[in-house]
Amino acid sequence: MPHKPAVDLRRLEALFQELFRKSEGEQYGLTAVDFFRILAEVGAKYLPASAGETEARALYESLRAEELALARGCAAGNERAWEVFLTRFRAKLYDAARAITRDDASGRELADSLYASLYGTEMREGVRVSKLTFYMGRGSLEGWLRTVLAQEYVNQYRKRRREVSLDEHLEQGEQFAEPATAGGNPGTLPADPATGADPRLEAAADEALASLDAEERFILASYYLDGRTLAQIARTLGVHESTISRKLEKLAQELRKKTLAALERRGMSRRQAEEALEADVRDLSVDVRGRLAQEMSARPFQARRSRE
Amino acid sequence: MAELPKIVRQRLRAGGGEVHPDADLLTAFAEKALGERERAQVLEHLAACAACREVVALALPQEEGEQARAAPQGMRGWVLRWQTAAALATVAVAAIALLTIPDAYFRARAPVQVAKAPPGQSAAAREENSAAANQPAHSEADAARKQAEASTTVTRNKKEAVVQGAGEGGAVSAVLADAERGRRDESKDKLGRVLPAPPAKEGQVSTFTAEGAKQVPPPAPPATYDLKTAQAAPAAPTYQAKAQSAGMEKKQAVGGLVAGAAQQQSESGAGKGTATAAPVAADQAQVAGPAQAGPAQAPARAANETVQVMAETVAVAPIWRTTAAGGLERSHDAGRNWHAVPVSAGAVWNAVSSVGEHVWAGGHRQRTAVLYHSGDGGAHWTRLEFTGPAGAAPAADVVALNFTDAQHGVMTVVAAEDPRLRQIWTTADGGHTWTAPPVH
Repeated sequence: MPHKPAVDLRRLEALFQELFRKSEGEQYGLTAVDFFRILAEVGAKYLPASAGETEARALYESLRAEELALARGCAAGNERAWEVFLTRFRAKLYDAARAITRDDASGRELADSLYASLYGTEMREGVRVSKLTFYMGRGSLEGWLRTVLAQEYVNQYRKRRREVSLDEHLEQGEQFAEPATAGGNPGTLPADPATGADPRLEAAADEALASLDAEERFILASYYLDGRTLAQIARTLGVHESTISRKLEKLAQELRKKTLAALERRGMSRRQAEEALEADVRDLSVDVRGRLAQEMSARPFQARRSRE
Repeated sequence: MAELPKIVRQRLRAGGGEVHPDADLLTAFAEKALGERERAQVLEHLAACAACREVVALALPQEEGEQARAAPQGMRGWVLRWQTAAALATVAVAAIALLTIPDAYFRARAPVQVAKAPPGQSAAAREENSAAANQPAHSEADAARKQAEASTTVTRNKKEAVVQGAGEGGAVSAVLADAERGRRDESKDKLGRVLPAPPAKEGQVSTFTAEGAKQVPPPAPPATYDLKTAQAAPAAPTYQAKAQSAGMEKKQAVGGLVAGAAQQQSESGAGKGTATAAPVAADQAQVAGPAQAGPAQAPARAANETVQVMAETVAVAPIWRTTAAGGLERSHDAGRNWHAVPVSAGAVWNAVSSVGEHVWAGGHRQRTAVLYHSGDGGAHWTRLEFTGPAGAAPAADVVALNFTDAQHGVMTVVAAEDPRLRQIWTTADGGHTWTAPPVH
């Protein structure tokens, strides 16, 4: 929710003037006042209530003023802005869409749908709203277009997944959420036959994960859950591939060690803790399949209803 | 990589149900433009949200390497073989030339095919003179002149380096290094130019810098055409991208590479000029090789031809194409670099045809066929309110265009009443009125 930042924006007037000059907003039909209003909107959205002048300055100085003015000029229907936008971004937009979908026809379809929203097919209170109104100039306009395309693609994919057949869901074994498990006796293993997971395991894993920082968890999730390559993760974080490789190796060992220690603190012997971790990997898949069969025979229609 | 216990994976997957960062923040994160505080917040979210991680990963710009990997293997092999051959031929020609040509040869010999120009006058000077004579002062013409000058500088530098190197005895290694640099640079450029259009390639034509999003302005149309290009251009008014690699005159292709080199030179400083000159020399050697008169003079002439053609073919007739995305693009360097040309907002272009400075672009805007004409090489455009043959249904789209001169052309349109119905119309007045061709 946008709020009014504590910093007095009037103290930044000289900076705003400079940004307006750099933005060349006049050629896109923007006045200085229009542009200042946009800057105030950016501040309200991204500056925390406690932000001081230094932080506000840093934010405004990092903005892509020229592209911000261009986007807002387009959103306002300025012809010159559209001409420039089409010249600079039209081909890139279609290229990005094809790269995302990895298919010509789907790429074109995706880009067309975004184009429509950029032009402003959506009406709010009788006014045409262009998606470009939401561009705030934090990153490049080209990058923003790619991100919006990617969001649209992921949304479409999710929508399609909701319509996917039950068989496909079953193959993936995803529709059965793990039931909550009760605490087990110290020293005993699987409390829940469905997952084979001892609740102490979850608590220990959570504890180990909580000791990592956000970037480390991001790296782990990208590699182990999303199947990204080392190179992809490295590009996202702007570091070398070998750095990611070393980090992953270290993190995996560290997590294992910390999880074992946490299990021991929860009453398991070292051997039991090690067995719990090892057994978990093997047993889970078997149990999921078993649970799958049980669920299918017991509640054949319930699953379908939940899908609808 | 070490295995992660399944339970840890499960717990890692948990979470991510909060409000997602907006596209601006995700973009700024990917571009490393966030401050520490915001970056930490976004990372915290990304660590727990698979959907946003997916978005960030999908939105990463394609790398050149990825594009190259997407190219068909066979074509890549062809390009690499060509580059190897070009580099070897360059080294061979340059080495022989160094050993056999006296310095005076370069200084005394005037270009044969531009003999009409005053002796000793450089290509840039000729370009400047004819530009001044034929066209008023214009920023694009200035840009073309700069390109010409840059290219001539490349040529001169190359010649001087060769001559100087011969005297010092270190020329071969210099040329080898040169050729190697050229091969490396060219491998990128060639992949970008010849391979069948992986989508992101066209997007790289115009330079987009992360910092200021400043675009390098498209190179200007040449102010004049030299003898060769003037002969070549009218014969083939419209060059499509595919047609270039298959059927375009070799010399024009050489000119394209030179112009590209000139552009690189002018953009990136003096250091890169010779790098792109090497493959040009090799290419030219292939063109000129069989036509040489005497065995003793052949290498010398080949080397000189290289210099000569580089100077002559700086100005190349622009070529046009429409993109899969419905854009219109022009190239001033025989298809090496393409630049989008704005004509009219909202129109989708399917066909383009050019005869000299006349260009016609056809397509549609909101299910209505549109035809635009430019009489000045694409600088200004006028919509042609054309009329179809008597009784013909209004056209919904222009799908093909071909003009043989400034007045006569053929156009294929799709009828609005039935998009499957295609009609061929002809014009004899530059596209203002169209008739159905007589049925024999």
